[in-house]
Formats: sequence, structure tokens, C-alpha cells
Amino acid sequence: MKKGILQRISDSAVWRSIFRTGIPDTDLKRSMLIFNNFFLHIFPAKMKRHGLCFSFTFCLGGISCLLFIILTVTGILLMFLYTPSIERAYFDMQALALLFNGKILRNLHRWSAHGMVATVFFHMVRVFYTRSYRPPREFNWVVGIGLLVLTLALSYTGYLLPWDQLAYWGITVGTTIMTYTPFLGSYIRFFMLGADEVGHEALLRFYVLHCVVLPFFTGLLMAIHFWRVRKDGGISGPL
Amino acid sequence: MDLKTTNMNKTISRRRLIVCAWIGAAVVVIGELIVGSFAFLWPRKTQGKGEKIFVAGKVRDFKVGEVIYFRKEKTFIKKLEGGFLAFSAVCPHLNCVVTWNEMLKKFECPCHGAKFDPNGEVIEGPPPRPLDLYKLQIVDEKLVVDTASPMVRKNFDPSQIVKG
Ligand code: HEM
Ligand code: FES
Repeated sequence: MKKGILQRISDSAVWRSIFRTGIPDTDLKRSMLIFNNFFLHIFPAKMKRHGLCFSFTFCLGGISCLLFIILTVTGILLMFLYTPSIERAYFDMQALALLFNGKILRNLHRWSAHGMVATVFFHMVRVFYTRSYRPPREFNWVVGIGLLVLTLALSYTGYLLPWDQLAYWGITVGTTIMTYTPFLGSYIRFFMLGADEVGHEALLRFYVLHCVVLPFFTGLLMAIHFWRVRKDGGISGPL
Repeated sequence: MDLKTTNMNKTISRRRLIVCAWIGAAVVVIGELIVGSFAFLWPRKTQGKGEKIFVAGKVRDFKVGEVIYFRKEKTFIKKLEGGFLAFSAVCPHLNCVVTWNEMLKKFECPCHGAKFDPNGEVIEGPPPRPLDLYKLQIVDEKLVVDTASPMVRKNFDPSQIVKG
């Protein structure tokens, strides 16, 4: 029998060097496919039936992760057009609306950011109400708290970047709240802003935090978080 | 015998010494990196005190009841019957800048809706104290305002008015 073109490709040396498992026509090969693929290996090769039950997780952690990916992609695109300087930031944001897809890109970034705060919060609520924070998952709860704080910090640092009235006074108010920290208060504000008032230094600091430092640590903690879900025995069972 | 046991208690093994030395060295290096990074990121001091004094104008140019805003200095100058008051426009709640509403004769903060009476006392809203005052002097018939250190006050008192 003559081999079809798809068959020939998937039998070729190049294809086999990338995807070790051939056509997944047996259960073993199906699970090998998951094991051997970098992107699929975060999924368990087998899982318990209740783990698929939508109304147990509402997929809230997964949605948070998806939103984070959308935010990363749109954020990188926005970085090509945005200058973190007090002369240009606001006008760069306005000029964005004139570009092909500019508005939708910015709005995707903004709405995903709002959405992620909500889904992370509801994910935490779901973990609480399903008692999934209990041993052996107590450390993953702590990792989750780190992710919650990072999510909020990302939202807050991103808020300054458009350099409009909301941004300016939002950061003025927020950093003044920081001065109520016992003993260190005014130093924390000074360090955060890089000056006594919101200005060029603060914009640069928030920009670096928002675009590099915080996403890096969020990605790192997410990797640990997902790894721990697996190591703690998969999604917790129904009550 | 006696000497040997006391000696044994005081000496540490070569292995332990090296382990301690490594840990010590690591602590020093990591400590330097952390302290160094903070020192690197610590903001440089901003402008000196000298620039914080400004001349608001001539005494006779102000009319009684008038409130004049100096945008760059974030200062309101108010002329009363007996003299002058210099308010800091920075809201004592969380540092937004208040505006003077000439129609209602109130200072208003856009951030959380605080309202202050013409003497700077809180009428409504969250601020914990009245608007701060700046040091005001009359030199050569001119108003000289020092915005370096705002004076915090509990309430308005006629003694706060600078005669002129
Ligand atoms: C960036 C934010 C976060 C992301 C992307 C994320 C993602 C995920 C995902 C994909 C799962 C698998 C189950 C599911 O989808 O519900 C999960 C489970 C879990 N998450 Fe999160 N999460 C985040 C924040 C948090 C927070 C704020 C907490 C709590 C403080 C938390 C605690 C947990 C725990 C304890 C589990 C295990 C639950 C179980 O086994 O049933 N996570 N997370
Ligand atoms: S900052 Fe003025 S009312 Fe809050």
C-alpha cells in the first residue's frame, strides 16, 4: 500500500527527531505523547474523574493563567510603542489609538488585567470553600498568596504608566498610604518613588517593575504553583 | 588526660572550620550584593532648601477675602481683615492637591471629596486635620513664603494669621 503524504511526514527522520512518539494509536503512545512534549507535560498523563468536573474548580486558576499569557503577549507589543518618560508617555498612549489594532491591543491588556485580579481572587475563594488549602496543599496556598500579591502589584505599577490624571493621583494616594507603615513609612515611599513626589523617577521605577521584575517573579511562582499542584496529588477531591 | 579533654572541647575539626569559612564567605558576598543593590537603587537627594522660598507678591495687591493659588508652589494665599494665611494645597488626607471653589467658598479635594472651610478646617471628608500652613513673612511690603516645612495644626486659631 502506498503511504499518504501525512504518513510520510510523520515517519520522516526530521519529524521523529522532534516528536518521538509516532501516531498516538494506543493508550501507551497517547500518554507518552503528553510526557514527551514540553508544552503538554504540565498536564497530568492521567487524572481523576472529579478533577475534570467544571463546577469544582470553575477553571479559575486556568483562566488566571490564560489571562497572564494574554497580558504578556499584549504587554510586549505595547512596549514597542511606549516610552517611559513624562514628556512622552501620555501622548504615546494617545497615538496608540491611531495605529492598526492599537486600541484593541491596549484594551485587551487593560481588561485582562482587571479580569485577572478578579479571577485570581475568585480562584482563592474557590480553594477556600473546597478546603483545598489543607495538608498536603498548605504550601501551595502560601505560593498562591505570593501570586495574589504579585498580581495586585502588577496592576498597581501598570496603573501609573499612562501618565494621566488617574494614574498620577492614584500613585500619589497609594504611596502616601505606604507612609503609614510603622517606623519605615516615609523611607518606603521615598524609595518607591525615587523622589519626594511622583515624577520622572517614579515612572521609570514603576515601568521597570511592571515590565520586567514583577512578571519574572510571577512566572517563576506560577511554575512552582503548577508543579506543586501535581506533586501534592493533583486537584483535591470533592468534599 | 585532663588537658587533652579540655583541648578537645575547644578545638574544632578542619572540616567544620572550612564549612564555617565557606558559609561566612557566602553570607558576606550575598550581604554585599543585597546591601549594594539597595544602595544603588536608593534615590539621590533632591533639591536643597534654598529653592523652597518664594515671593507671592506685594501686600497691597491682595484684596480682603481673596484666595490666590500659586500652582508651582502648591500654595494658597488668603487675605483676611487682619492679615494673611498661607495654606499648603496638599491635602492632609493622602496628598492630592485641593482647589478653591470661589462659588461655595470652600477648598475641595477631588480625590475623596474632602471639603475645607476658608480657614482650612475640615467640613466633611476623611482628612484627619486642617490644611497645613506655611511660614509667611512680610519683608519690604512683600509676602515671602517658605514652603520647606509645613506647619501641622489641630484647628484654626486667629493667632495663626500673619498681620499685614
Ligand atoms: C496568578 C495567580 C494564580 C494562578 C495563575 C493560579 C493557577 C492555578 C491552577 C491552574 C490551579 C489548578 C486548579 C484550578 O484551576 O483551580 C491552581 C490550584 C491551586 N491554587 Fe492557584 N493560582 C493563582 C493564585 C492562587 C492564589 C491567590 C491561591 C490562594 C491563596 C492559590 C492556591 C491554590 C491551591 C491551594 C491550589 C490547589 C487546589 C486543589 O488542589 O484543589 N492560587 N492554581
Ligand atoms: S487626598 Fe484629599 S480627600 Fe483624600
